[in-house]
Amino acid sequence: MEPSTFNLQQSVDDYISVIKSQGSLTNADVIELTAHLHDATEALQRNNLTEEEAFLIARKRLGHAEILTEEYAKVNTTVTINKTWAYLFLGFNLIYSVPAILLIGICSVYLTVYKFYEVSTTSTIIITTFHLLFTCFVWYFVKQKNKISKFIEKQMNENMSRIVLISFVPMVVFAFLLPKLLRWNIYYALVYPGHKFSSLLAEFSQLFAIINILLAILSLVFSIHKNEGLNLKALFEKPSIVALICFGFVIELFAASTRIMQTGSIMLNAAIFGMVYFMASFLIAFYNKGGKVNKYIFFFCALGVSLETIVGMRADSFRTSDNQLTIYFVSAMLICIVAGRLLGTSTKSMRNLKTAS
Amino acid sequence: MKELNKELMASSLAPIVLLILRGQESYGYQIIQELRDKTKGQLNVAEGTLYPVLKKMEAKEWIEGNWKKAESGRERRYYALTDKGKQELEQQYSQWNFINDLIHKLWNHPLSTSNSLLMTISQ
Repeated sequence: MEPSTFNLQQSVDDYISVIKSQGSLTNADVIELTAHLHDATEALQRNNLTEEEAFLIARKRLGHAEILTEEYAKVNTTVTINKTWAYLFLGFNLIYSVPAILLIGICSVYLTVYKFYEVSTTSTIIITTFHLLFTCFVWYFVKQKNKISKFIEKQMNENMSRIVLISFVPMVVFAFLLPKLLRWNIYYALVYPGHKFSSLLAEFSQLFAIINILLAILSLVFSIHKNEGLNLKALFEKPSIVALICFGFVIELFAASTRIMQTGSIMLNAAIFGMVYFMASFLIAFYNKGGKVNKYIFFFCALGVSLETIVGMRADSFRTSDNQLTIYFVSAMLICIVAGRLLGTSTKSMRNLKTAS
Repeated sequence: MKELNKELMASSLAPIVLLILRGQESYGYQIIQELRDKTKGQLNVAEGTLYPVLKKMEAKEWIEGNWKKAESGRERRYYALTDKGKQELEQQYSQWNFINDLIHKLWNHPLSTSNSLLMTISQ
């Protein structure tokens, strides 16, 4: 017969950890339940059971983890309150330190590339590629939303104080210990793509990355009340009015940033501008039913159309040349919104027919 | 194995624990063992749910808990009845007796004549 590899201490610790990970036990409760399991196992062993058999019965008699979590949560209300404050501290520290770390990393890249390649095609390619990779990283990070939250939840349940204290470290380092000179360079370096590299492509890709960060933040915020995973359907199906207005604002920023790409032709610039609205309008129409699509599209583009018209007309009035550019951009915008709406709806109908057949 | 109504179990666990602690101070597992012995293993209750009840009673100052080292070297929390707990136990005991008497009386009360008539007609 093979010798038993059963480890009672490990098994007890593992089961208690499962209950503790639900987040309603104090350290004293852990000690008490651990002692109970040991006592119960020893008592059952006196009935000629093996250590493993005795533990299994003792564990069953102790009760299901869910029931114990529920009962302990009723009496350990301070654990819940403390956890809330721990999340608040953690959130505040991460909101400050993560962008600070990213900023330092990004600016280090700019300064390094400029130091070695100055103004050149190589530096434009490197910086543009860097921006595109960064954008992909942002969306990858957003897709890992569930894994990240499970990790944070686990750390909170294991040791709240530890994770909160660790989260203060980047804040202390970047707020108080970083030399002032380096910080000045950080703010200065942010404008490198536009001013130092003298590259429209680098500047546009930088704006593209920033706008994707805004879109990622909007996705995270407006997916809070949705139970499905983070995907296009969850984001665009039955959106709230606030979400549509925010989305419309970010799309307007994105569309406006395309003007950096000076193609030499006002029609082509307007077409590129309109394409951004086409894609957004397509997505809204594709993921929603016919009746409400018009309402959603209206709320989505109302702010953008208003801003483009008002700001564009003001800009035109200050222009020394006779070019009235607003008419081109607003027309392209409206045509593309309608086209996106029609194509989105017809694509959805065709897909439904295909699924039905 | 008796499985009591959840609410009934929840409301009766406190006075049962107070009664067990009336004899001597005890720790969680010992209280469970006492309960098992008295009911001859008939009562089916998740043992772990005793501890939140003990915490509630300690918060109400009916019992007092102290950590002590067992022979095995493990820490155990021993509970003892306080004076407030003794008063509470007397109160709850008389309340339970009252309810018990009432249920007995109603159970033994003869069925009403109209009911007897209905039963006769249906036969």
